[in-house]
Amino acid sequence: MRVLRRIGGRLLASLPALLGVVVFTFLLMRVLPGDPAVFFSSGPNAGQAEIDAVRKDLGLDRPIPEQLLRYLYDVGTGNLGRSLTTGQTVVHDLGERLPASLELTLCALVLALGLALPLGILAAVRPGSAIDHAVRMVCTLGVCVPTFVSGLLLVYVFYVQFGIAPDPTGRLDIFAASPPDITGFLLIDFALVGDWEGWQAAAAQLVLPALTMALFVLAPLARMTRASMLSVLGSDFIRTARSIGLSRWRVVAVYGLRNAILPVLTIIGIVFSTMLGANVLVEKVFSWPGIGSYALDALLASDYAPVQGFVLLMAAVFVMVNLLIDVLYGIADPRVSVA
Amino acid sequence: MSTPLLRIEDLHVGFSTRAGEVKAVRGVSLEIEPGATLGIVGESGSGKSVTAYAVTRLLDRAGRITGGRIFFRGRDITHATGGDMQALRGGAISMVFQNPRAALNPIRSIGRQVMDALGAGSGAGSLRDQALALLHAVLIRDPEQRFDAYPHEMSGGMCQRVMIAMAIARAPALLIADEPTTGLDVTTQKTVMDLLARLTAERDMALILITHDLGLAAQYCGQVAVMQDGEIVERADAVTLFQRPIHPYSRRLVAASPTPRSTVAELVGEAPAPPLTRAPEPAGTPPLLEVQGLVKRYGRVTAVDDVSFTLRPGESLGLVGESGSGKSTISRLICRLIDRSAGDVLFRGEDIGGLPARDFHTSPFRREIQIVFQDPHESLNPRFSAFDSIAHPLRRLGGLKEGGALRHCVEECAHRVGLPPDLLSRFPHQLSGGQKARVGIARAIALKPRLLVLDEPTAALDVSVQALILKLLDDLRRQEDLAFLFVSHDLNVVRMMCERTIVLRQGRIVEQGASEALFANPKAAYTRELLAAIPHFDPEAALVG
Repeated sequence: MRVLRRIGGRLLASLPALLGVVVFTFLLMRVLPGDPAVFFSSGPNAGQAEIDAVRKDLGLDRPIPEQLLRYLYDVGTGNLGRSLTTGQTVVHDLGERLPASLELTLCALVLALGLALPLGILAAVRPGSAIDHAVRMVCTLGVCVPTFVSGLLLVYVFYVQFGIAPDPTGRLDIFAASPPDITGFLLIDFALVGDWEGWQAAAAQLVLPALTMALFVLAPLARMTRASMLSVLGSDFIRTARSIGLSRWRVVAVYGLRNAILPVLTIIGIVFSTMLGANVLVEKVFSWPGIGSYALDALLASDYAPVQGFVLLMAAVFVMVNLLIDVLYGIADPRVSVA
Repeated sequence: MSTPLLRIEDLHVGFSTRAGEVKAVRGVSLEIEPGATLGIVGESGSGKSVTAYAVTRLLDRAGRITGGRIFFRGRDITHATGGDMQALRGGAISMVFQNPRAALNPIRSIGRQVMDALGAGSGAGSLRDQALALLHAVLIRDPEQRFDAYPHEMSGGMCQRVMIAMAIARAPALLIADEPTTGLDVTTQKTVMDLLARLTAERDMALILITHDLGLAAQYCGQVAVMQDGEIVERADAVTLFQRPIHPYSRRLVAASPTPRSTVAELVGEAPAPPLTRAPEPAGTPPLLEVQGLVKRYGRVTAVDDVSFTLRPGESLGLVGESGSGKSTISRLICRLIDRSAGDVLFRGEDIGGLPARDFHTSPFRREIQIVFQDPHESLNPRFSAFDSIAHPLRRLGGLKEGGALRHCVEECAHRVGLPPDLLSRFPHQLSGGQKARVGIARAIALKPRLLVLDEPTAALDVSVQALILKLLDDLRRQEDLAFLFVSHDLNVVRMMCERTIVLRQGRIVEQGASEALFANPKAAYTRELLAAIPHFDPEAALVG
């Protein structure tokens, strides 16, 4: 009960930050060059009268403070506006695309952790060994190669050369049947209706983009795991664990890893938030219908509402992820309470 | 003669460092019989801990046994495999470590950790019940309730008991305790050591006690080995070692260890200095320092609770107490490094307690009250040479500019504290502990203050160095008529250094009086308890007994 109250308090405390984000993006969008009224008029030949009509229609002829107040009121009532490019409300668009991004990011994160933790531990258990250097090289490569390059490389190798990966276009082969829209997460939806063939198809589409992203965040996770594991393995209580005759495996897993995972947990939160926003390149390469490419398209079209909605959504996700990480941290480390 | 439990023959241990291989242990040979007790005494860097870690093969990655052999129950374990050593650890040889709180896993409940220690071998029976029995055996109250506590929720002494429970869990034949009570309060030290001695005796375990404290080793061990620079220089039973130390180093060590009767001069092997005689002060002179009803609160915690005392010019006053007694807080309040919550601090009759600590550096009294800090290393700026450290107060408060006058002053200070002038250009990491302590003292006396506050000035030093520094401080006081406020947890040191002593407990004064009388005939029960807890070895008493 007390924990719940504290979590509620934390959420309340994050409201000012969210408000700041809303105001800031609003002003930023007004400062950036590009006039939506011009962009969304019927064509390049539209006369001044038509442009003015569109501008009036969009409410852009009013003073900026008034626009801001109206925008804040709309956000407060859950109305993020309408996208001029898609013609749908921003809430609808984001709701449709967020699961695609989340599914990709979560899978990439799981994949990255599945690779980074063992690599980091191996490197820490034998510092200075060949394994350590190999891990360091893999991490450096992952950071150095831009995602669109590694993504294209993976497409070239596994789709063009070997032909084992499916067509890298979207979340599902265009000829495959979509599952009923329950959660929006294809893997979950397919599993819920028991369509395992469809599940496999969706998973196959997911592997390459997820791997691309995983490679990109492998470095911070693996390096952090290594550093944290090294410092923990050098601490007094590890010596104690060895002195009471625990097996090497138990010393590393129970005494070492559980302590070493704490700083990694913090990094995971940061990495996840970064991935969610930064995977626009991967989405572009794999034609993934996510929120990143949606926001980028809107930005290029001077379409205010989707960009503002996107930034607000990212800020909210960031707050939630941080809170979740803090709660997990509190569970993992008895010395810390969820403050 | 039966086979010794552990026999070490000509052991050599080296550490590979950037500067090449450092020989930490150079040809140590010793053996211990089943059930016997052996103390290994030495100062930092003597190789005493490394020897123990070589036996259990818990050396750092950089450390390596480079020669010699180790036999356990007649079996050569010098090059035993990892698996063999794992079977020995805990089951046959176990260890208790220094700094108990760090030695326990911070995110695992203490009950689970004791169960880990039990379970590594047997795995049979109800582990929880056995763990509870062990916690009970090490005198942890309410083991049922404490079972799920984490190390950070317990005191250092309690953590050390848990550590002992883990070490004896599988009834090993040999227990190696590496500085098990360093950093613990003197009364806690006594309970922990008594517990350790009783449990090893009851369970017929041999005990190797590694310590820097000769008195502790002599009190709890039958045999004592003295180590210096990686070698055992002397080994004898405790009585002989104390009465007739043969090796010059052991002689120096025995002399330098404060006892209930020693004087500062005796520690360094000199004739006792005559007692200080002071010209009577003219009537009406205000005391140098007068503290009235001093209170310091941190939130809801009262660190200093209504403390009053006075200090005459040239007098030395000792503040003793255990951790949390408020002695360091008082010293900081008087130095005006922190602000009081209530009460008065009068210096030569003038109120300095009301000046904000933030602005005290502008007060003319700043140069009159100087402090020597506890850790000589941490309290020196690593980017300042010894010269700069000593010159700092002269520049800031003394108004001396660069040049001959400043250099002359710094060199004179260095001379007064016995610091060779060629060391002045060195940085802290290039100086030994004793030299750093001298720099700290030189910095404090540079402005010729009237009151020197010494906050555990020798706590981080080896005993032989401590003896030299105490002698230096005593001489300084005699020559320059300095007043001392000497804060320490070591009662013997305070008795030697101070004319009057105040005993503190939980922020309150328990007892105060002239040192000799107070120590000879303590009135308060707490003072008696403190005095009884000091590890001491009385050769005469041992001979009679």
